Amino acid sequence: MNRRQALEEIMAFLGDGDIALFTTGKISREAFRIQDRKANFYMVGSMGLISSFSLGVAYACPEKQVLIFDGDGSAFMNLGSLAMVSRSKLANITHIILDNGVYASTGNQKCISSEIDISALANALQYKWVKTVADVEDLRICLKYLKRKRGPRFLRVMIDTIEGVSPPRIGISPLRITRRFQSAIRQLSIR
Amino acid sequence: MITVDDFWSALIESNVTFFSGVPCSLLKNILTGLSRFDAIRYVDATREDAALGLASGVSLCGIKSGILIQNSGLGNIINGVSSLNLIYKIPVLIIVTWRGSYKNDAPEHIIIGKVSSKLLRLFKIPVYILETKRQIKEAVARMDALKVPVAIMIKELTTA
Repeated sequence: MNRRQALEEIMAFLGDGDIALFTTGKISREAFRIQDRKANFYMVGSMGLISSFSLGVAYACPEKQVLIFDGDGSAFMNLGSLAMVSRSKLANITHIILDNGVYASTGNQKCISSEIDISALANALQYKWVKTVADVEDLRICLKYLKRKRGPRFLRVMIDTIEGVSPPRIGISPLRITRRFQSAIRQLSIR
Repeated sequence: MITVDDFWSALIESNVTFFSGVPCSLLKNILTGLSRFDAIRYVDATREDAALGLASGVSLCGIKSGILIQNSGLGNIINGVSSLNLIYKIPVLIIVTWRGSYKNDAPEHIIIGKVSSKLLRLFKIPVYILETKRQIKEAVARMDALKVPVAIMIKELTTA
């Protein structure tokens, strides 16, 4: 399974009312290319902040499911934020790590995640539910029962590094991302 | 200097109700006083940038938010301020103590103390040096208008 396949599977599972936030670099770009939606937030900079930022969204929107699409590199950048996500005990948060063991956005330099198992850390940090999947079939099965589990959930998805053409930059401005997201939140709240 | 009650009531009257942060000895009374204000929600963070990230996510969803940090943590928030808040227009009130602003402070505060307000202004962050309750309301009004972070700097221990 590569990044694109993993994102396609997980994004197909997103409901209309779900909020999805994507970390810096190719994860955001790939998500934008696969299925752009107003309730998607693409974080183009501030590497390492997607988990704390998404936690803030989950605190503010307790009635919505909040899915964090993190990378192994960006998750390791701010391990304290993982502790904050777990400690929140928020049932509506799912922390997904797309783990390829490298910094794919900057040229596949080796990341510490290739030596240290981040799901073992997630267990130690007391996430309510921790799972690692390594192929598409397991991911599909996991997604089927994920929503029945109480959060904070932690899902590590092992992915291969994609060779070749990288996804293009996100075609909308950061300010547009903010405004669309805020209008989506307001619409979701009315329902 | 204003009292802790003035500090929190000004923020509540301005509808800034969600905070994250990392403690500083100059924030001691402010943080202790929190227990008297049910309208405020405070979530402690492990680092200043995590506090900023958390407060930014809350702010994005329409709840006015702030962070409470020491100026030694300004370096930790600069990437978030520049590549998240300022480009996405996500306002967060940055309440930051100003160690190193008085004589005989500990050596680790001297260098950052000399440049703290300049550093914020370099990123076009409006800076208020806290003296009156009214300034807090002005700072929040400015943040609401500009949709960018605004800083309030605290030089001394707030009266309990």
